[in-house]
Amino acid sequence: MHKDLLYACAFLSHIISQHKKFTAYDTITMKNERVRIGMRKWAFILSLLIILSTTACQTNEDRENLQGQSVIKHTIISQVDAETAEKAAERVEKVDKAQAVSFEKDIFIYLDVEGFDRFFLKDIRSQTKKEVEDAVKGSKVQVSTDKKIEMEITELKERLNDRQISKKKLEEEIKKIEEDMKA
Amino acid sequence: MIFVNAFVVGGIICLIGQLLLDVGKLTPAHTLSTLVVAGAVLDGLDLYEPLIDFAGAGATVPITSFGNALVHGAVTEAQQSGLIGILTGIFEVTSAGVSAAIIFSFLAALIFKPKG
Amino acid sequence: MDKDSKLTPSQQEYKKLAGKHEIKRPVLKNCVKAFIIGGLVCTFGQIIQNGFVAYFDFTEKTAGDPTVATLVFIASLLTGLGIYDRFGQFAGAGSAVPVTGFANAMASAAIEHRTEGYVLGVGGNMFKLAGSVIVFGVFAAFVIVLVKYLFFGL
Repeated sequence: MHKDLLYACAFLSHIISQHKKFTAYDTITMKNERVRIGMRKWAFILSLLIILSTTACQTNEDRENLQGQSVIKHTIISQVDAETAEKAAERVEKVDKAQAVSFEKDIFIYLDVEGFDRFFLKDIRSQTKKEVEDAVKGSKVQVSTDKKIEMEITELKERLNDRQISKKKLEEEIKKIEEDMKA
Repeated sequence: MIFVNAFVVGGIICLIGQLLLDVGKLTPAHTLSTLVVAGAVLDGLDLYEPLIDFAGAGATVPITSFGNALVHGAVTEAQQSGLIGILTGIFEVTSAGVSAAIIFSFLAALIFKPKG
Repeated sequence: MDKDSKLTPSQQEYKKLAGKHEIKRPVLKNCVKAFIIGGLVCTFGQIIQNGFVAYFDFTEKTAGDPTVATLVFIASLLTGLGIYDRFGQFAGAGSAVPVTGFANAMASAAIEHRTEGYVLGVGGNMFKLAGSVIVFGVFAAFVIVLVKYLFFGL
């Protein structure tokens, strides 16, 4: 794609350098001719840009396919605790939806609460924590209702489902989520 | 959506301010000071945090959140360091707002000319 | 009222007369304007806050600070450009109650007194309105937290 850009830049600079300076009289008399030539020039540039962009798109796709074939799939990291936690959390009355990730004995869970129930977020959080701790024995549970945590947990869940993440990376990401929850 | 909550709660707080100005016939300085103290009192009663949970920026943008932040900072420090924490913690959370106001106001005075 | 009893009879008469000729404030119209504009400013703040959470490394809780700082910046800029005055006249409390009003008060006082010099003019007058807000806010916070600490164990 960089090569194509370079060709396009070279072509455009060539056109700009070809621009000649005329007197006013010349420009008026040559107006029609210039318009015709100008339109042809722009049509050419436009078609060239379209061709360049479509070729650029194609090379990107090819590159992605190539990446897809050689991507590493890591081992499945069990998220059974997380799923139990989600079910337990959704049993709590005011919780609409829950998203959780688990790592060893730690469970990090995000709760989705809407509307006037949001006035009671503190109570909902402590109630949910108790529910999850009862459902998954011996676990350390941290609950959050922060939108940023939702983004991080959802992204992490996707990567876990696609097996795109190694155990070490998971530990790093979990640490980050833990820090954000404490902040 | 959170935007509707923010709109309504922010509007209500400004409405209360307008009532203080028009019906209470207070000056702007009186009105704003009253609202800040109200925010501080609400946080003392643990009522302002739920409002922020519900309305997001609708509760953090009005000046009442300034009072809430002052109390919050003081409480956090007092929990850690005891009584002296009240003095050391008051401006901890509000530092961003006040510092930004001072710095940008001074910059404005440097750059802009007063208009008639 | 108690205040009136301290005035002489002619002063009380004058007060009644002045009250009759006082311009009636359109309270309802002002309230509606304040509600709508105040709501819009807060909604705009919410958009900025969401932007900080989504595109920068802030959580909802920590995004409050940069949101306030951004609004203060915008308000100071608009004050310097002279746009905020017209907006403030139209919206009343809708522009004064959000933190933008606080920033506008400080910026406009700073710009206005620039001719008196930077130390005495700008520095000395910046806190004309903000001063009361900060003084009463801090003192109220002090009393409230003290009471909480001594009587309710925080």
